[in-house]
Amino acid sequence: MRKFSHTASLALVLAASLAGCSGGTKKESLVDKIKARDQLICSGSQGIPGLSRPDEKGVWRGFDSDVCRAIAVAILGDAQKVRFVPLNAAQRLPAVQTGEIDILSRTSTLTFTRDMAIRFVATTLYDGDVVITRKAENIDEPKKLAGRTICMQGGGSLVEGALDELEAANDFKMKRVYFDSTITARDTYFAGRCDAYVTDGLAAQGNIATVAENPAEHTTMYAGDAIEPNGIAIRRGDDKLFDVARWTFNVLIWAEKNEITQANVDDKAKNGDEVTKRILGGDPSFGRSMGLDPKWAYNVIKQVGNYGEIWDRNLGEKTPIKADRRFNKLYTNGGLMFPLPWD
Amino acid sequence: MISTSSLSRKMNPLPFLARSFGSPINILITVVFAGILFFALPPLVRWAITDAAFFPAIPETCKSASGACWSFVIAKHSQILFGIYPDGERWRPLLVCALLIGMLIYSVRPSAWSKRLAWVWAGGLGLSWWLMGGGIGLANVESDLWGGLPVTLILTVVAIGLGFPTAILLALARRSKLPVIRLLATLFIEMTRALPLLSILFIASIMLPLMLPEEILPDKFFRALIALYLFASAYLSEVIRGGLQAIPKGQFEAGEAIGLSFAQLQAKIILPQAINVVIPALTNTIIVMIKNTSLVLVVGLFDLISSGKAALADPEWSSPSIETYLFITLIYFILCFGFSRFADRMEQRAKAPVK
Repeated sequence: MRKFSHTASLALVLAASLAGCSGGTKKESLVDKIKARDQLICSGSQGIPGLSRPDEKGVWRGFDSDVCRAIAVAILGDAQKVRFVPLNAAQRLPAVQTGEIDILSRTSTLTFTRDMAIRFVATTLYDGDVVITRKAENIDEPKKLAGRTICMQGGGSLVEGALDELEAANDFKMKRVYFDSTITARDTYFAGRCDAYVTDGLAAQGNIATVAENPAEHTTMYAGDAIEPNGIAIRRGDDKLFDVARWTFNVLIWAEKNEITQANVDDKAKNGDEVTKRILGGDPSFGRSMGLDPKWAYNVIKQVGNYGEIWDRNLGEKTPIKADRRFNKLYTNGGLMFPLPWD
Repeated sequence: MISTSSLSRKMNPLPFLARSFGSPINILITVVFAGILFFALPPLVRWAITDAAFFPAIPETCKSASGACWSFVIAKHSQILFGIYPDGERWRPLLVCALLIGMLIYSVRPSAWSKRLAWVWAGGLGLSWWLMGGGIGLANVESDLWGGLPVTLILTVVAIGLGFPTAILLALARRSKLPVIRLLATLFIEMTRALPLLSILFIASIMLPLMLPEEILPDKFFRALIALYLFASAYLSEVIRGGLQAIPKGQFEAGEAIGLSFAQLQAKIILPQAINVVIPALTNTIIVMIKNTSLVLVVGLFDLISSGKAALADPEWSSPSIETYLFITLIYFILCFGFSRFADRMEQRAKAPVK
């Protein structure tokens, strides 16, 4: 009996020290780890046009990739200090949970279930589902999709939901044709296999512009009013990284609202109003609470640009994507994007 | 291929015309196939060559051409072949590909089959490792930046190269008289075979990280490599066991009678015969494994096919999927056909009379 209690107490001590250890590692913020390794590890994808894709030289291009760069600049002061780990849709959540990546920025829709597993920080893009059809077939309103074939990528619950709603509201059925990737589905539609193709709203215009033989033959409509808030996410329980990610994204929106761009940020830092000067490095204590350099916000804009610049570079009118900015406009222009106050 | 064609030449010394029109059936076959070629070939040539877009390798070249868009493959060949490997360092994976293929060609010659071969392989794999990953004088390149052809080659060569010796041990263990060893080997083989490769890859890439602490967890590339290795060894071991079954009992008894140890008996008498018997089945399994490596795309590794797909995501180009996949098909064909030719040579050698 006595021997047993000895063993038991020893086991308890061991368990407690183990728990203490793991508790200790959990408390260490990823921000410190990122600084120690001098590199931010961010999610890549397997190639999503305009959002994240490796180019010929292995450099990641796209909106989601640039958001990662902004966070790398905030923490490390250098947009080059980020490594992208390619992930597919199934891997992206476990990759955050296990610490394989620091930041998830890869077309991930904020949902309740996902937010219970990882922690969503901010909504970076509002997307909706768009149906592309041929003008010649005169499908210009959802009702006319009755009995038509629609090409789509399998496995997207939100697209399915949007189509379900559409069918329920109009009391008809479509024939859904599934593909493993949205690119295959798209090419199949443009090759004439389907009457319609449903995809992310952001990609729709660009698809017509680049893939269609004659872009004028195609038209688009929104599939229902579903909205997909795509966001950046981190591991749960890391307040420090949460702060950095949330307020870095806020810098991007705030700068666009105040017309601060890569080109004029130096001027604004010198001659702007008091708040602008404080945020752009005039106040040595700004950023201290997050453990960042006082000029972190200035660096972010200088190296990556504001939200509008990131949009224009990757998704805007001058790119082949030509996305409809829609809900992603500033609130002053009828969108949903607004900066949080710095007070 | 070489054997059948040379065989048919020996059996059928008739000239080409006589063979093509020698009998009514031959005439029919010749006419039907000539007809198919007559209708299929001109549009194919027009699409692939005459109307195709080559230079300059920019999107506009393809927009104005009605045929194949080879400009895309020309512009993106480096991305398809090397994935997201850093641009300035791409001579390293190129060298690794050359090294691995060179090692394979070196190993094909029977005169090279000696203990030295093991050292050549150990050295070659070590060198490849250093070239790909960096360290000592080269910039570090994390394995999740590896991509394209070297990934396909490394996965194939290592999974089969390590899987083959393991498979021999497993096959022997499964026939062992010791029940514990037999049971363990059987358990491993049956468990591995009962799971699809896809689910083993998913377990390795998604479940393992949730169960193991990150300090002892190998990275994604090596997890997939280990999964492929285990899978290959289970399948190869059953093929080899099939060869062992085919060896008459007298061979074992004769070997034991002249006082050979177990290892000598297996190495000098049983295995050489057993493996010769199963060369066609081995070739089959190995070619399947070469193609299986493309499944790593579901766990987010940039093998050849994933790299091709990522290249296709460039919005500047109108996504010439067919051309890209044909290019990748060509590479796979060269790999698989090359291997089957090698196996053919092995078979010829096995059939040759013992001197």
